Amino acid sequence: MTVNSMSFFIFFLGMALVYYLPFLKKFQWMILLAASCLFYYFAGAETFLYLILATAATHFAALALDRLNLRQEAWNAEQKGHCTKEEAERFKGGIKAGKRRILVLDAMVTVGILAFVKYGDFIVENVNRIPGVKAGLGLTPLNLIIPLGISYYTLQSIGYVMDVSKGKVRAEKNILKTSLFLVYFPQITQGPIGRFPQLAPQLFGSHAFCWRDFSFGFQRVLWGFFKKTVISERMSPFVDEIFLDYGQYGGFTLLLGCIYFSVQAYMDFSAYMDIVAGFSQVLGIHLEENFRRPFFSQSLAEYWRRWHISLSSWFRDYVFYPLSLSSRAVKLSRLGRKFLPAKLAKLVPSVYAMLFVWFATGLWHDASWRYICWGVANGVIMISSLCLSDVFQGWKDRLHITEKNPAWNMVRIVRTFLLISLLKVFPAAMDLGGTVGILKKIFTDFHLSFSYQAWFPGLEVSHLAYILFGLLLCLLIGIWQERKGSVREGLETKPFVLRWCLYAVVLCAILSIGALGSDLSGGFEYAQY
Amino acid sequence: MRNIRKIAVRLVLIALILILFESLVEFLYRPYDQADLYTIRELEECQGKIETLFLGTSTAHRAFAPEIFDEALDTFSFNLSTNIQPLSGTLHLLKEQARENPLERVFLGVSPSAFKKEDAKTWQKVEVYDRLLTLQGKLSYLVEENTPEEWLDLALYSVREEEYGDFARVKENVAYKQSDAYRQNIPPGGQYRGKGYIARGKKFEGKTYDTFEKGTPTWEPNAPSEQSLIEIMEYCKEQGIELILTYIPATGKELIKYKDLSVIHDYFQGLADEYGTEFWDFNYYANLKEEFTNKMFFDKKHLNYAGSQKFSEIFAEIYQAYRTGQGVESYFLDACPYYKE
Repeated sequence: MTVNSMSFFIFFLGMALVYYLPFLKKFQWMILLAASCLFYYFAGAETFLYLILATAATHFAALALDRLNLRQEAWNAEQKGHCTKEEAERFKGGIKAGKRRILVLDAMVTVGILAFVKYGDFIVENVNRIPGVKAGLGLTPLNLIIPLGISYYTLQSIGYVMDVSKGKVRAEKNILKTSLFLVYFPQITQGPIGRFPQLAPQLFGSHAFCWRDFSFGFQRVLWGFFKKTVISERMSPFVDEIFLDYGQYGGFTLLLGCIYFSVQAYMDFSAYMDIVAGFSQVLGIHLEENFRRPFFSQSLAEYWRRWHISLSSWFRDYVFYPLSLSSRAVKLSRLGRKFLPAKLAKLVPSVYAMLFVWFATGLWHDASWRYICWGVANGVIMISSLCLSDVFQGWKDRLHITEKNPAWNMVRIVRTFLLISLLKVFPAAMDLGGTVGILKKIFTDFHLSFSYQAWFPGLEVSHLAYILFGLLLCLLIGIWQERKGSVREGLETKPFVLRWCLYAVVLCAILSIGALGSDLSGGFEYAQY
Repeated sequence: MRNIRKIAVRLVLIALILILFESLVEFLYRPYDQADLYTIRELEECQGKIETLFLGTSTAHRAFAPEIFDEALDTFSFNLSTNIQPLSGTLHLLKEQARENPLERVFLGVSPSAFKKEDAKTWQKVEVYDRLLTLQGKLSYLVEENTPEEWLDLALYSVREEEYGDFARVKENVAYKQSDAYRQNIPPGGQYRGKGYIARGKKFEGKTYDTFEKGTPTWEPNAPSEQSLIEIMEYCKEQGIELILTYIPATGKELIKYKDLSVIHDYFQGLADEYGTEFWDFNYYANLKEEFTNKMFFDKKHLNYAGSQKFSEIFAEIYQAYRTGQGVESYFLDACPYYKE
């Protein structure tokens, strides 16, 4: 059951009806938990055990960390000013060591499960590739089913445990509430990766029916379905075809294919976000935004602040900052000062952390070398940009280009979009060999063509018209959002008739030109991660 | 209370938008030359009058000529067969027609090729759904026989339509649907003969067979279809509706592929005997080779106009004999005439 299916819609309506019964207001969190468990059961019952183990480990680790925090607070209250520096250091060291032990144990379970089910076969395949190993050890892949949402709920649980460890939030005492935080059904399949301080009060609190949330929520769901059916599903077959059989296409078509893939992936993922955020808002729960018009970015760094925001911010807060401030980073920085110019030496901790972040980002997406390479490629470009920022600034000064110049900003937007699209060759290709083959063709077999087949191979003209209509509407909405803010708030002030005419247009567009019906059974692409 | 009222108003608004939009799309895009369109319109006009119903797949669609039965049996009949009609759909059509009409008898064409298929495709279900006229009929079919993912395909024409840019077709549709011929329910082309019956004039020019050997049977029934057929037989018994199963005649070129027709015959005969129903296998018809030559078909298994007229006359005659207690054994052999002695 995927969130864009009719079955889910019926399931959600039934659940929402029960959720808003006045006499069940106090038990809303339990209704959410029951619905989430049911949803997970229908989506993948055989992997429920992993979720239970991860939840238990997370819950008890958080409680243990919370106890250490309380001990620390109590000790601070009692002993502050009354003990020696050595005693204070010893006590703090003990607490720190205790926390480290708990975090390691928790990671062994939660990350261990993720590593085992998602990366186990990848490790086996690569070990077998070492000359002589297959003949000797002959490790057999386990072909385990990857639990639904494991990449998402694992990060979410690690974030929660680390927030408790740092004292940012108190541990939840009720294991059922901890379960709800991890398994909340609108977001478990593809995020966004929630933060406990923001999400928990909403999940565990009671929500009176709010007409605005109800209305806004369904408007957002409608918009999500529009993007999914009119654009993403229409583009998917012909984009897949380009990469499945790339040998028959020239470099120009393959470059266009990368651009199309970029657009299609965004439409698919952001549509999912709109649908789950919309359904969630109907329940009075506001999820974090995961996208902020990423194609308006003027640099790769900005792109990653606008694309899959919950993931990039998670890696920033829980990997980048801790690594860049770690003692090892400090040591590397000191080493860097001996061999590098001062300005570059200052960047060493950031570079060190970024290498890890981007390697991990690639690996998180998929257990494959092409995703790892994709992540590393992103990292290399961003590190280069960071290291060469002074050089670029020098060129801009010499050419009298200012940041406020609209033409220059447009150039940057287009450049960034092309760069992102080119990087998409990694996920678009079937494997690393395919990636290399496609890149080779793009750079060595590039011939500009104006034929329809070169631009839109295998795509019917009518379907192209539907897609262009959808993209135009998205572009207009995007420009509105960039300049004026929320479209829904803007529409709220307009006459009832005008609003409903717009809703009718979107609804009828979905029904008529959207790829709907029983063919739409594949779900969303980011659910595979 | 205020919120409930607001929701109710908006739901009504959405329903109105859908109804208007669907009506517009159907008017503009539903092909004016599709027999289905005229079948459904005529079916609506005939409600409350139907006494005899023909059901089944495309072979039955092109075999039973209602006007012949109406005259021979002094009845009012309608052919509600569709292409590869899933038996689960047949049951729903039967139930709705039994509710809305003074139904006395049903002639069901059983097709081994359809019986072999596991799950009906969406387009097969669409043809059944379109022929269900009442809200009760449509809802029960949607809920009982289809997944929620299929509901949109069935219930909304706009979802089925793919070529919204085909303006030439829109122009043709609009022009014909505003004509007198359309208002009088006269379809173009000549295939649609009225009361759900379609027939082509073309003659089959495939290989002619005199006799052939039996071989290892290639056909196996499937459980879901069998279950639906049993439900149909039980329903007719409960409602006091006379049911006759029949295997429509086919050419030698079609029959040879089953290698051993007795497997099919015995299977349906066995079920019919168990549930107290008649089964008339026209591929065991005594004069099959003489009367149902290739000229009586437009392809290897579908009767053409001449063939369906002849078949309907023969069938009505046999039915008269059956009704008057004369017995039907003399019309059928113990084996298919194509098989060597």
